[in-house]
Amino acid sequence: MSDAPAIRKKTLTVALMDGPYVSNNPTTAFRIVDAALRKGYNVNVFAYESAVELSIAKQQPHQNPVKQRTVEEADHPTTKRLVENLFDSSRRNGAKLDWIACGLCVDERGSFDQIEGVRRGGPGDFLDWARQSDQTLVIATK
Amino acid sequence: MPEKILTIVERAYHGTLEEQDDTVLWFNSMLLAKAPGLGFLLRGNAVNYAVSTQDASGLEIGGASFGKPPEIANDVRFLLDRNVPVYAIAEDIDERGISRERLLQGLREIHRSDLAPLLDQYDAVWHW
Amino acid sequence: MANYLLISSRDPFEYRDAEWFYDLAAELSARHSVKLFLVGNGVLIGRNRIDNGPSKKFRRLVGLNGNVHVGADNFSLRERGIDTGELVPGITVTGVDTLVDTLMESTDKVLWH
Repeated sequence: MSDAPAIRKKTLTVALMDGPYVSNNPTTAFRIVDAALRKGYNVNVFAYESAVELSIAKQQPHQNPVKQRTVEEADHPTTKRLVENLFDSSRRNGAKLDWIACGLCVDERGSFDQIEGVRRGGPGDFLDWARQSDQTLVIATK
Repeated sequence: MPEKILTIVERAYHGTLEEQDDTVLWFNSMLLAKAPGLGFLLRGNAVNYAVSTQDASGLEIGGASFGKPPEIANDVRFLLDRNVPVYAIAEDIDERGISRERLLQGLREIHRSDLAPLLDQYDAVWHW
Repeated sequence: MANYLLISSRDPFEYRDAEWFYDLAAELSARHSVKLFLVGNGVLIGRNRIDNGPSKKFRRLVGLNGNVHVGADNFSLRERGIDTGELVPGITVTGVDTLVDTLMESTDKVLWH
C-alpha cells in the first residue's frame, strides 16, 4: 500500500442563471463542466432562476416537421439529458458533480420534478461552495 | 477562501415585476450575514437601481393586483443602511441622464477607470 | 501581479457595452496578466474586416503590451463560419479544455460578461 498522500482534487463551482433555449450560456456552461469533469476536477453547479429548468425531468424530445425528422431522426437531446450525461461523465472520470437547483426558483416555476442527482438548495449553499472551491465562475445572464 | 467578494449587478428590470425583487440583489443580500466582506457594484442599467423615486406600485392584471411590487430603491437602501459598500459607475449614471439629486445617499460613485483598482481590493468578483 | 481571466460572451453589435470588457482588460493589463477569452457571440468581434469603434478598441487590445492574451473558442468560431484566417492577427484559437486549464491552474480572478 502506498504511503503517498492522496492528491486533493481541485473543485470548480459554477453559477448559472439562464434556462434552456434562450441563450448560449447553458451550452457553454455544459461544455466547461464537461471539460472539467473529464480532467478530473470536482464540479459544483448552482442553478439559479431559470437555470432550474435545465434539469426538469419531464422534458421530452420532439420531432422536427420542418426538416421532416422523427424524434429518433432528430436526435435532439434535451437539456436534462445533457445534465444526466454530465453526471455519467463524473462517475466515469472519478470526479464529483454536485448540482443544486435554487429551491425558491423551483417553487415559483413549478419545476419540482427534477432529474436524479439534482438537489434543492439556496444562496447559503453557493457561498459555502465558493468558500471551499478552488475557483468560482459566475456566468452572467444577459 | 474568498472573504471579500464584489458582486456586480448590471442587468436591470428583467423579471423584477414577476419576482417582486431584483434576483441578483436578493440573492446576494441573503449572503450578507455570512459574508460581511460583500460589496456591490452597480453598472450599466443597474445604476438606475439607485434612483430613490422608483415606484412599481399599482399594477393590475385581469383586475387582480400584482401583489407586493418590487421596491428596489429600498433594497439598495437596505444595503447602504448596513454600511455595505455599494459602488456605482459615474459615467453610466451620466449617460443615462440621472440627476444626482435623485440618487440614494451613501452611494460610492467611481469612474470606469477606477474599476480595475477596485477589483484588486476584492478576493473574488461575481458578475451576475 | 495577479492573473485575470475575462470571458467575453457578448458582442458589441447586440450589446453596446460589450466594449466595456475590452476597456477593463486593457486597464487591468497595466498591472496584471490578463487573458481575454471570446466565446459564443463574443467571437463576432474577432473578424479583421470589421471597421467600427469597438473593433478598433478590440484591435488595440490584441496588439497591446505583453500582459494581454486574447483567445477565441474554436467551436464558437466554427459555429459562426469564421475561419482563423479572417481573425485579427494575434488571437489564439483554443477551446474549452484550454479554458478550463487556465481557469483552474493559472487564474486568480475570473469574470464573465
